[in-house]
Amino acid sequence: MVHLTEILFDCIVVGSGPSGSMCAQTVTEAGCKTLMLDAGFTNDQSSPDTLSDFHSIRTNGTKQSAIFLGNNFEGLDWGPTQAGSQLTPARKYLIHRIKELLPLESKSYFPLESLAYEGLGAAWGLGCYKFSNTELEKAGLKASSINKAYQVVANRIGISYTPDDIEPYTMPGIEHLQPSISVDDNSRFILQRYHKRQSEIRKRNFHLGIPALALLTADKNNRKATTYSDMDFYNNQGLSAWRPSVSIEELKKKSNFAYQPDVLITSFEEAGDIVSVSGFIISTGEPVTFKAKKLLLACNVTSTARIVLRSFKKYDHNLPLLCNPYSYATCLLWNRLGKYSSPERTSTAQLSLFHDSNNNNADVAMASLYSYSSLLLYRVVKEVPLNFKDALKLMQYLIPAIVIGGIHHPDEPGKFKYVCLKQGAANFTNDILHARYELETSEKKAIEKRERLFYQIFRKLGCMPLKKIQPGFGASAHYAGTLPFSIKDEPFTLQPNGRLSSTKNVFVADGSGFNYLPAKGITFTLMANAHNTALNVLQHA
Amino acid sequence: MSTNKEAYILSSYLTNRQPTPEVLMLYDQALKKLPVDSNSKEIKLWEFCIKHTWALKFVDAALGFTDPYHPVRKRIFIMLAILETQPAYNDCFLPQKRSFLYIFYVLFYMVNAVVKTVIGKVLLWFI
Repeated sequence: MVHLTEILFDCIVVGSGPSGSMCAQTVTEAGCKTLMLDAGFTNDQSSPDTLSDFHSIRTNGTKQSAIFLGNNFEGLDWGPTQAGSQLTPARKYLIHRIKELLPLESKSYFPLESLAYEGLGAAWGLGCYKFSNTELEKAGLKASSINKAYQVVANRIGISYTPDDIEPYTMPGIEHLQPSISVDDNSRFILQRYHKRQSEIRKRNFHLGIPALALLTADKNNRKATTYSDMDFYNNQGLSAWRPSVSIEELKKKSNFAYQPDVLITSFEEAGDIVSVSGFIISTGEPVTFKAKKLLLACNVTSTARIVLRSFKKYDHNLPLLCNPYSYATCLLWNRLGKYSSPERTSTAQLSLFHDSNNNNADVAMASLYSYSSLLLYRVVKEVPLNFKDALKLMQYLIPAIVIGGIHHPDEPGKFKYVCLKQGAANFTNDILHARYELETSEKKAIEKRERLFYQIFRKLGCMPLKKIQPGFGASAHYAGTLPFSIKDEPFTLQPNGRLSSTKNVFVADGSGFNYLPAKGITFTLMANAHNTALNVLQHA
Repeated sequence: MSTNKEAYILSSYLTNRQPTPEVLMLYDQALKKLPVDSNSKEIKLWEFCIKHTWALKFVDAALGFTDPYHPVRKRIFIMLAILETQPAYNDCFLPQKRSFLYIFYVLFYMVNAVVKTVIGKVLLWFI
């Protein structure tokens, strides 16, 4: 690492998630000498027998407990559902040492943060959605440039989608798409019901279809099409799913790109045209500093907020916070009870249901429908208010006909939605991020009303809602808005090109700038914005 | 108390079968990695269930309704998860093709489950 601290890089990118990987690719391919700094925790547990499909492993695998429970039984989450509970043992490393290295205190906000290699991108659900022009403008993004960036990102990562009823909310105008995934038997049944009642459901401004996914259905370069092994929560066979490592591993082959893990960046400082980026080596605690002409922060909004506030030594100062309110419902597809379902499927969302309240793609809520597959019964049996033995019997019967409907709502800034950095904590950085996220009464009512509409449509589709689970604010894993875009050069805002106000050479390439957070999955737009920010950095240079 | 004894009781309760050596080993390991923190009252309840195994289903039922994250239930939960990963118990966990009439069998079981909850609640007053 010593030699990296002595080099003046053209660009330093902090973070290895979807945003970090996209902006690093753009600047590196343009010829910049690029350093990616990352905490970079990896999964150090080997899982045997993970090249097989889920059904085969479940039927015959003798070492399943390591895969499904974890070598240290870390897959056994006891207690109420919260952010991170849903992570399989193979993904638990995503939240390794978070409490210690990214301390956060809150009574109302429980986000999923990660210091892992690939960040939260390692557990991304792969759903790809273009924001509409109205949504982009509300978010503070320039529609014309983001729309071009969407195509660039789509070409890089590979997306499968066949235009259907939800095209306006997913991939309008995007070319070179692969065919949609084949959905499972339950989802085919739901689609058939939708097509029978299509005009009635569409009159209520609901649209159902197969989501666009960053999952290959045809081979692309050295990556293979999905084999429908239903192991997507545990591994990435054939690299069929795009994860940030797919891009970063290719970048590592380039001579002008260096990846440095084991570093937690805490602050930056500008002196003339040089940005010094400081932090410490996680394994030793030693301080370390790197230098570059341009800094791109792409480490998720709360981590970026910590770095920025610390760098300006601004404590007890509130930054706004956006997070999609999220709940999910366990629904019973009663017509599928006792029926055989083919085990060949992906573990991703099978269907997406959009509610476009004014039919103008400006105020859209979204539900992702999943079969309860590739997860074991014990996770859901504990939620049933019966004795375990009878609950097991019940769920063994019901689970093949269970559909999980996860509903995301859009979000706007609010009085009780903020983060701030407080000094004086006894930890590595002597500070702690304080967060508050509460909805106003009008917002709660709007969400409840909208969810009732979703449940009505679920019933029309044959899905009977059994139980609603609210895992707490932050569980959506979609966050934005801490450094909102502004054309004024006010502190703690971003210029439209991503430059952090009051700095010359510091840019933010994650969702910190968004002034509005649509309900559609944010990751594809994050990546497009990251690519654009990197282009702006190149122009700025 | 030996974890093997607990494992036998819990496995029999959940599946009407004895635990395999693998299950015994995993349960022992799991309790070391995931200690079950209990106060004296909770320990007393657990010891009662071990001594009077007939009561376990009623206690589990009552707690499932009133205190689902009780330490007694945590032990059962751990055993349940371990059993699910063993092919020897697949018929208790993997989906089975069923006729439409099976729904009545399940409904009967659910009525049974509610009765157990009521009995369990009464039992808890006395333990």
